[in-house]
Amino acid sequence: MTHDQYMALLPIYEAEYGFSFVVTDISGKVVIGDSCMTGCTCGNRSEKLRIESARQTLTFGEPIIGLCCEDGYARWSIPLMQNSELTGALVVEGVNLESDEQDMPQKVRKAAHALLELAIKHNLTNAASLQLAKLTAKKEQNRFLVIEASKETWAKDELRTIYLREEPGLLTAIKEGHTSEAMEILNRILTSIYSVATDSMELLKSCILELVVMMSRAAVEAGAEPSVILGNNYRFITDLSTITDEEDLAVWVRNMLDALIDRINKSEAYPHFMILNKALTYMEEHLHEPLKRDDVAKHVGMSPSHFSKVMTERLGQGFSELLNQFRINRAKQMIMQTNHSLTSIALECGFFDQSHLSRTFKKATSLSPGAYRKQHSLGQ
Amino acid sequence: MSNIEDLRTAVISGKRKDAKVLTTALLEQGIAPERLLEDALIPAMTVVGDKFKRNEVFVPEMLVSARAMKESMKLIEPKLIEAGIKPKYKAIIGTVEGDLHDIGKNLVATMWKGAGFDVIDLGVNVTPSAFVDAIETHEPDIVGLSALLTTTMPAMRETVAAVKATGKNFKIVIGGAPVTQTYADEVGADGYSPDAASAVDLAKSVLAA
Repeated sequence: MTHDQYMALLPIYEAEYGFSFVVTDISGKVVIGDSCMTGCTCGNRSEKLRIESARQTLTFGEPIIGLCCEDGYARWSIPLMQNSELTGALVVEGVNLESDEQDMPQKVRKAAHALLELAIKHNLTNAASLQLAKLTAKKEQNRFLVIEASKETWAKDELRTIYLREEPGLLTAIKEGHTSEAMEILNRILTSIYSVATDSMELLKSCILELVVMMSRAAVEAGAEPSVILGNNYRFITDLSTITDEEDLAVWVRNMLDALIDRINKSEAYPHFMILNKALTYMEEHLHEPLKRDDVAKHVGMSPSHFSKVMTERLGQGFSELLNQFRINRAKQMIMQTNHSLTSIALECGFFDQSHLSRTFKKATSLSPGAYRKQHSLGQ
Repeated sequence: MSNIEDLRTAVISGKRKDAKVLTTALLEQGIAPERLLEDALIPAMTVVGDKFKRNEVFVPEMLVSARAMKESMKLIEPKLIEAGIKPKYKAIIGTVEGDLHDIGKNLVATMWKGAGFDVIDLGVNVTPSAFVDAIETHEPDIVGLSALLTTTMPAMRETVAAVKATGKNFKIVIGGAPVTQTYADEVGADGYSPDAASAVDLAKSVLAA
């Protein structure tokens, strides 16, 4: 930008928007204009930051209004460009954002965009690069929104895993009339739900609904009359849609869960979950032994193939996968909480030897048992 | 005329708006703020806490009660200060680094507040150095660490070690789903609470010790 050009454009910009700008070179040093004219007294107008700010504008395709000092003074910079090369910047700085002037934020935004328009109009910057940057930034933003939205899916996946793991114990407790134990399990599940969804009422509602759906299915499998469950649910879900605050939601959860517990309690079948619960307990108690699917199936009185089918359907994992997970979990616990040697931990958790433990452990946790102990061990 | 009994019931049943209205009315009637605390809020949270311990209420019910109590506390707190009643103990609380769960921690913070503590809540994912800074600044009587995940238990140990190294005189209590008494002993904490409801008794007992 030439000096003459500057002298022609500055008064127009000043008259229209009330701010002055200066021209800097690529290092951020003011080459045309008086950098003190904007009234900021902070003196913290680092040359590097002026160009940094211009680069930001170039990255996002629109002026980024940033602070030039801690006192709340703002700066915006428009990149001066020759083709795709950054050569300097038009900078407005020392703008007092806390002034009493009305609509200051709008005024600043408008002025920043106007400076960009001015630069584009007089061919001082690369309009095409800026446009492209703007589109890219927009895409990035959309991607971010998609990731945010996927949190919901993630929350539900996590909830499903937790629920499926707890379901056999929960249903057994209900069937056997151990309401207190059932509530303890439900509270564990609810704690997870409220932990992931605590900021959003809608997410909270949909996670709780998910819990209701899973429990209803289990209730039907446990022998409850589907039409009764459906009727119950219809009424409850209609109510849920009108709930907007946590107090009503708490009452709703209580009524819904009480009703479901009641239904499961009254059903007469001796269904799969009790068998599964028995199987899981047996597996946990015998995981140090060379446990076979057929042994567990026999223990719960099911044919091995049917047992496998039920297990995969109900728990989302096959026998070996689940047994492996139990063993890894036990090993993790022992590594963290005891000083036992890895060889003895391997044997106590049902691995053939230490190398079998190491291989399996690393596959599951991406850490070797030794490294895991180093990271997590206690009292050393 | 509103009475203290109604306020207690409102908190137990988690009626936030009622708790607010009743607290305002009771204060206007000239009832001492510390009486509201001692005769309504504390007994109410004890009832809810005990029910929770006995598995008689669900998590959402406990949460709304805590919220109702907070609402009432907001009105009572300035009056307590005005009346020159200083909290007996100062507490710092936070969820350890790597852990973003705050339900348990928030409940304990509320319960402690209800028990008349001055509670400084550092939030979630708090680094050992942030705990240390807060301890240097606030000089608390008690520090509470919370963790929900097994993976963040080691962070608890680090935090306990770091805060102990400040050499200040305070008690450390820990809590959260994976935490046990053995673990508390192991890491050198002064006490452990299995749930939010027991956290008040625990704090009082370690402070008296």
